[in-house]
Amino acid sequence: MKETYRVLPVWAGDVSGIAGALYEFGGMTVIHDPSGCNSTYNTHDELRWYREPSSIFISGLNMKDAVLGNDDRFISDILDTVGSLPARPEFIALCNSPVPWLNGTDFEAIAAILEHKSGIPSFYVPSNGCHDYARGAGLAWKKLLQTFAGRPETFAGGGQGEATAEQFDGGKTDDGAVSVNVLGMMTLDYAAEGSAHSLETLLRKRGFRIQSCLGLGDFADLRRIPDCTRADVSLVLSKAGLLPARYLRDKYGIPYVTGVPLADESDPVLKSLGDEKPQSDFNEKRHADGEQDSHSPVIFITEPVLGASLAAMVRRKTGRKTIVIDPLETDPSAQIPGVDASLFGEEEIEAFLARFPDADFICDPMYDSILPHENRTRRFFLPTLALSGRIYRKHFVNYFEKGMSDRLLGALASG
Amino acid sequence: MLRSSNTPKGSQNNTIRIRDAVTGRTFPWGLEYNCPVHEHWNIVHTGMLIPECHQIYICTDNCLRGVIMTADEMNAAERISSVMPDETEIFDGRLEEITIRGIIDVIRKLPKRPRAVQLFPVCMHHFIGCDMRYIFDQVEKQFPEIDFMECFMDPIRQKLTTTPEQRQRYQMMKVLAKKAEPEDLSKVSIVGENLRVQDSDFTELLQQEGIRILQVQDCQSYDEYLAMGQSFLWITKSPLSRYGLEKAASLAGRKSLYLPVAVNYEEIDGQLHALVKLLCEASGRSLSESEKKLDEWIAKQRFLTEEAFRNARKIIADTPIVVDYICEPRPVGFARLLLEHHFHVVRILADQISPEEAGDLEALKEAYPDLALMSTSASDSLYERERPFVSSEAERFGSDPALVGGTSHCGFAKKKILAVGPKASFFTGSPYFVNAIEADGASGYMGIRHMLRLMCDAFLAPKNPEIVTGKGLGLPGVWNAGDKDIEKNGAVFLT
Repeated sequence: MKETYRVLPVWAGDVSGIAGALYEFGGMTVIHDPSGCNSTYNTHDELRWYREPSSIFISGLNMKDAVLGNDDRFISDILDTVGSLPARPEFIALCNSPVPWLNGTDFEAIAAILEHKSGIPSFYVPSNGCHDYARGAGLAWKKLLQTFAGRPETFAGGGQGEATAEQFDGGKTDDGAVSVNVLGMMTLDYAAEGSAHSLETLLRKRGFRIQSCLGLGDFADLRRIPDCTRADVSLVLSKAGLLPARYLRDKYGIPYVTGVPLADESDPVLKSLGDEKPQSDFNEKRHADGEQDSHSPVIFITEPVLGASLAAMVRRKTGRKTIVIDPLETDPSAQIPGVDASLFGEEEIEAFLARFPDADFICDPMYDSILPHENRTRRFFLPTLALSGRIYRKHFVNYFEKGMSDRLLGALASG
Repeated sequence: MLRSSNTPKGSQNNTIRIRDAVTGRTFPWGLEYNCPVHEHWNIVHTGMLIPECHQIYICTDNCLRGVIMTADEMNAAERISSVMPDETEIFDGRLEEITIRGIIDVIRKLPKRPRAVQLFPVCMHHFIGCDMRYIFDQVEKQFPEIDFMECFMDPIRQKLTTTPEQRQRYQMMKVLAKKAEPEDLSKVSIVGENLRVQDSDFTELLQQEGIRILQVQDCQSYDEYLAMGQSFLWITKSPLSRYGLEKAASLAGRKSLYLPVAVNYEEIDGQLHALVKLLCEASGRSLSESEKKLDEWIAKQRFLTEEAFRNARKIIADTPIVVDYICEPRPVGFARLLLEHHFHVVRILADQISPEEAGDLEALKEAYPDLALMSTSASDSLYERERPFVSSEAERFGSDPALVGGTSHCGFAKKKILAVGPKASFFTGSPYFVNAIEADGASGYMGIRHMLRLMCDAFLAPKNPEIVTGKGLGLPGVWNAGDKDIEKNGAVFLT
């Protein structure tokens, strides 16, 4: 039964994705929920909460207000809090758990009322606690772009990013560097300390200029969003980044490349990012990469963009056969290049994996309980905050640091 | 993230003077902040106390993840399962069907049939109007050999009716009625407690009477747990267990006693007298004789406690003290006790004040009307760590800063603060803190002395304040220990 989980945890939910995606942009996120969502989020899905808090609150919804549809209290509580905040938030974002979804709360209307009464840009990120973090984060970033991208007048601070409109010339910045929007960078996928900095360094060293980042690190700054419409290309680091990438492509004609650059001289992601016509399908060049079927496969069960990127590197360097499993929610209109199977839930994944007793598995440690434990099975763990939470936090991997690819290849080559 | 240049000042909704406080809904409802202190136990931790008992949650992704990760962090992933209906199933009116089928499917997949199962439907089951009786009946029919406990994870109800914790504890006690015969006059059971009881007057008295004390924390099997029902007297200290204690005990035909963690000497004495009266009724011994012995024992305890106060005062001196409700279940009463013993309590952290503390609240209003009472969950508490600590009372209330300890920051940290509890440490940033919950399992005069010892230890030895982010204080866990089990299995981390 696809709904049952005997032992596996579920991936982080949409509300956690929304709160995590908007964390660093100076807004205020309000979760319409009695209690649980925020507790889950800040305990298990958010590493910054103790040292670097953000304005994230819950409504503390009670049964009476839910049954009677008392939206007035929700609105007035938000306005009261905004009035008592030490600084005006740059925006108000709303999201919710199942009950406000079930009673048909008109969040779009509530956001409009909030914006009218407070003068603060306000938006609703569609959610109900039933979806995964990638969908929540993607929708949150799309709403952020719809509100601020190309609209410096909406943002109280105006466009003050590193590459302003005046500096652009025919799509290139005045120094000729290709400017990049980094999309899908979030702690739920890239939790290792220093990841954002390593990526920034890697891109700079390779001659790129970062225009904006959704949404972690120095470039995750709302002041950079109005001008992100003038970037040359977007780099999609995770499934969550796909929705904002497609928005920027469809509305502003900015192409995107899907993949994780792995601090490797021959990495195709960086190469593709600098092309005149950037391509997103590098992961699909399996046959050209010389895949061999004679070895046992290397099976990746990870965030799918990361998994596809790592698999492409393994194929390129070793010629081994790879299988990339996307364990996240499927969106048929947004397939990740390089993914071999979209499998959802414990039962489906366990049944699929049982067919590969001689495989090498690369996955979060939580999957250990459903992997085939044959003598020939080898397991290599890449913990991710979005699945195992903070349990294995000391083992989070900085994928943008030199040496990561060598460690993975070395492990696969060992005994 | 918050901007450091925007240090808050001016209006605050999280702190009031004690003179303006009331019992019950002390602070108005509004948006809530959830601070990163997680050491208090939740329903998952409590449910794990019963051996051979499995937990099943039927919920959507976001809330579900919280309970599963709670279990995973305490290395108990094998003892919890879940059913996650999708939004179409919820919306199309199939929630009852998926709930029933899911529970049955999970139980069938378990490698070993559990003796008991705690079931946790959630807020949406109520909201949609699921027939919960039908769901429970269907599941019980499938597995008649399993004891099902009808728990809920429905925080949407907790502000207006009973909380999930109260109902879970009732269910955990109710199952004891199943095998409550024969009654055993030589045993007393402590029920509805998260922590193993230690340093408590009532356990000391019971032991002096030769009575054996049973606690779930000592049970190795489900049968041992059920045998706790045979004890002639069931006792709890926890306010959350009071709701179910009398109901469950009466189902089993047992006497019960609620002995909350009192810090007022008269209340403690009253509790001990009530206990002795019950013991005399059960044993047929002379009450007057026993009460005389008890009074002598109490006099000795009072002497020892006053001596402990004098010794602690010598060590802690005039250091500002903040008391939180996570550590002290009676934070108002404990603050009063400290103040009356000339300690320098400057703030109490509590989101509401129990009616059980009405007397202590009135006493504080009279004697220390400007004492600060801070909510840990009011939205404004998000900014508390950005504020100057001790001076904030002065600015807020216009008192003399000297009365509240000067004008320096606390944790970050020109002035030493003694934090009694993990939330007190978080909000003050103080590394000098008592890292305990629920009075550390202690109560009565012995409990007061226990807490004074912890305070002195905390005052003398700083700790890493970030340990308060760990979940379920005192439980085994992988969060800090890491990944030894998996590494042993030959797997490799690609760190």
